[in-house]
Amino acid sequence: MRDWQTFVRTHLPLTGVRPAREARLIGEVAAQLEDLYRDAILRGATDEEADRLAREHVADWNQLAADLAGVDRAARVPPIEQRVEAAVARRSRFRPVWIALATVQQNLRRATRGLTRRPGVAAVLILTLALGIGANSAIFGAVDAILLRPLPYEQADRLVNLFEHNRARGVSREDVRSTTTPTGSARPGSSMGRPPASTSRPPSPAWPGRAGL
Amino acid sequence: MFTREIKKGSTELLVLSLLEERARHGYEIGKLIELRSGGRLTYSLLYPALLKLEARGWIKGRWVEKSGERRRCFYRLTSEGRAVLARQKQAWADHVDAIKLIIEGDHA
Repeated sequence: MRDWQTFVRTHLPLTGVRPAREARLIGEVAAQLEDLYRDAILRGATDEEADRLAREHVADWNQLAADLAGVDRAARVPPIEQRVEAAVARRSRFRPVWIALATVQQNLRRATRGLTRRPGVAAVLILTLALGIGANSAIFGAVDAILLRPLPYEQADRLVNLFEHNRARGVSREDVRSTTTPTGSARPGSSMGRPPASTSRPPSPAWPGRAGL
Repeated sequence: MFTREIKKGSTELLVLSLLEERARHGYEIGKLIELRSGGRLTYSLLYPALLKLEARGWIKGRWVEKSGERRRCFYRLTSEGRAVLARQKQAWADHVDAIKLIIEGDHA
């Protein structure tokens, strides 16, 4: 009897099929041809007739190889798509979630393929995005520090700015910490602090004039 | 007798149905289809279909070596395959009924 394994291996042009799968497919097809051969012998065929029957069983080896390779390729779908198929088959209530995830993955894959196909365009896009994000971050950082973030003091909304104005001498000074808030909580180097208990406190005799907020 | 399209559309259902009773190998499935259809349905090789069904998780193949026999891959129905088979049987019956209603016309 013919070595059907070798026969199938030489006739079935399986390209792009995983090696483990290839060995299994060749084994299975060879087993079937061998079964055909044995059945023919049992039915009374001669060795030559049985051999011919088994050899001619597959009419188009190339078509068979293409069918098998196609199924093997389809079987290599990413796990998420398998999950979608399973969810649809089971009519799971999580179908929309899996379908949405698969769509996102599909879009990402398509985008990656497009970008790798045109690396120049990809570089310009990525650089533009990077600059845009960087500029946005810088502007937001400045706006946040200047306008949005509260000052690092307790009850920052009650902070006041004190100043004095001496009409007689015609001078003004803004840093009145030492005279108007001797026990004030202003931090060194800052003219701001908690407002005194009474803002109508009389000004220092050395500075007859107006004090204001 | 039947076109390739008709056969292709029913292969899955036929294979799943034959595996409902017990695990079988590819050649046995092909022979049973031919036998039970009175020779009207023949498949030279069912492996593309078997491979597809296995990839979907509806059947599972396992190599078995019995004494005095060659090593064979036996396919059995998975629980998921069983559920799919039940749905496909119902869908197929509904489809055939609908087709009959159309092609047989109004004989009332």
